[in-house]
Amino acid sequence: MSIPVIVLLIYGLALVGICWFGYRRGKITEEDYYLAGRGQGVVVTTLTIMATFFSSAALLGIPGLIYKDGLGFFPFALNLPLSGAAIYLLGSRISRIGRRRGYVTPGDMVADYYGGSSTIRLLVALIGFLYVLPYIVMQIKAGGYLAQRMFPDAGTLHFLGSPYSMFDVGISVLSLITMLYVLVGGMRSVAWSDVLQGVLLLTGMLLAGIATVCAMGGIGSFFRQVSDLPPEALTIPGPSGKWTPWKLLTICLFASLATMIQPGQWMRYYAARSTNTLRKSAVIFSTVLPFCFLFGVMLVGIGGRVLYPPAVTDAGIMPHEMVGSKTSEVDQVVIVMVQEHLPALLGPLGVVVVSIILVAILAASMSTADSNLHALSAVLTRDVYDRFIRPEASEKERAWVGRSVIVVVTLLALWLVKVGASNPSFKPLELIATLSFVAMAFSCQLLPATLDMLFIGKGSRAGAVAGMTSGIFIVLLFTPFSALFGESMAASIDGLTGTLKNLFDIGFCGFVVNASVMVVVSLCSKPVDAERAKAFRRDMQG
Amino acid sequence: MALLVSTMQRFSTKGLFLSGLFLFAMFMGAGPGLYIAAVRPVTLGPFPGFYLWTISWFFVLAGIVVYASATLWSKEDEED
Repeated sequence: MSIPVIVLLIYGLALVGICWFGYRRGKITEEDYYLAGRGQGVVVTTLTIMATFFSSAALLGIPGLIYKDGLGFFPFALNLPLSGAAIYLLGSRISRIGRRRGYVTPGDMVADYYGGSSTIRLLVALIGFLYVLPYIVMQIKAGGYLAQRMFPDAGTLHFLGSPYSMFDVGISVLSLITMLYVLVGGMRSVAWSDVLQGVLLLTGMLLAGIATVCAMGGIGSFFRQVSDLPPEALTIPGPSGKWTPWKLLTICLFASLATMIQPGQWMRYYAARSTNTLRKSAVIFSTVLPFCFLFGVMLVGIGGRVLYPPAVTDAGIMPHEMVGSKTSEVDQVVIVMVQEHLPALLGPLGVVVVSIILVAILAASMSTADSNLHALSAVLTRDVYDRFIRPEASEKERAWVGRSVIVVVTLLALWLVKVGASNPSFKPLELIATLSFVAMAFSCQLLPATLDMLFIGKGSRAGAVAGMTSGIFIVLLFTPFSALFGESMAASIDGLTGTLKNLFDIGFCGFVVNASVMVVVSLCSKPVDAERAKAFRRDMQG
Repeated sequence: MALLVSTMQRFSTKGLFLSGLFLFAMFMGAGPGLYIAAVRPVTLGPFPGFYLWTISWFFVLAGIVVYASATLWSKEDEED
């Protein structure tokens, strides 16, 4: 049995153990299934927030962007202290009132503040859905690519008379295992598997960086080689010309806050044992995670640029032939770097370290997929089924609906990946890949209402509805949905959004319109009932 | 403006100062401050200046979070 298989088996067995633990400790209540009894301590809260925050992008996408664009993308890491601060600044208020009023989803809280509005609840659920689905699909797809890289010589497997490539095996195994432990153990299994996956993620990020620096002759030699890169790789806006200061700043400010209020994170604030837990998590997140980026995995991307320089072509920035053959394959750089250099540097131990880093990438994908599946189940069950389809449903029925949502969403995501990979004329993945870039922008449209609810207290229900609707509409203009307006109109829209996209984060563009509309409509409409707002603030502030 | 003033009045002076400092550090490290350090390649010893610039602002940002946690936020938690 090869070393990668042994490491994978150990990881798989650990997940089975965690799933069993979650099942044994769980109670058959909705609150326990979705929030693990609101009793998660510092270690679990910190690592589950970290693991949910970072998907396969942490170990594949971000080093890939640095490989492509050089140091121009390094300041992106500065969004992490802000995200960490948000865990306490937003999370403590959400956690306090969630505990006192029994909230489970973001929709419970926002709708309650604005007067039990069904429209607001549906809009919050829609924003959650638009954020979550693309992320699940992208994680499953990453599992397929990883299986291809881990077992390049495995060939085609046959099951029940049908042939399956390693890509098929990877996407199926990742989605089925993730679905099973979310189904069986709920939040407890998800959070505890996030602990394991978070530790693997941090270890993988640091190990990959240290290994790259060692393989390139130590710290001095590494940075001398980096300093000799072409000037455009050492300055802004980078070789692709994308990373202008204002774009970087708006991404760091708005995309990070948007990610910290997505349904999976919001529910983790409810699930924390106390605000003190969130305070400690905020400090660990703000310090440890950026450290692992700036002194770990980001160095792999820039080291890869030294060893395997990409080429600027008419089709875009093409990776070196060792890294990939398409522009989109720049994100394979971490895998190539560790597979090519670690065994030579460390001998047999190198194969073990390579396997751990590859399993860490797998863990990063699974930890985001599981949290998002679990959160989407809660949102669709509580905010849609329970409110609009069968309000009289018992708790047991709701629990089964929640589990059914997990199965349906997993199968839907798996189907989209499979069909997209096997049929070049059917390209839902192209749309979803585009949507994944704007997923955070959709989530950002909950930010004005959240800030109003938590800190300002001047918005009205009509203002929040109008703001969110206009924000979602603006973000949709940045997607292929702009084609719905007809050819000539779509061309004008694409021209404008293309210019704005080069200057600012998409979420920021939606935020500006959303917040402006919310302020104007709130000034002309009935404010939130003063007594309810006062009681809300009292429960939120302790 | 009145909205901004009334919102700001809810926060302590130290909280407002730290928030301002945090935004300034974001502005310098990941915003237009990059025009100072990242428009032409500079090296300090073997290190690219742009890398050192980013690392320095990370320490400032992380330091603000740690300080706020130890002073402002811990006090809030005690009152809970």
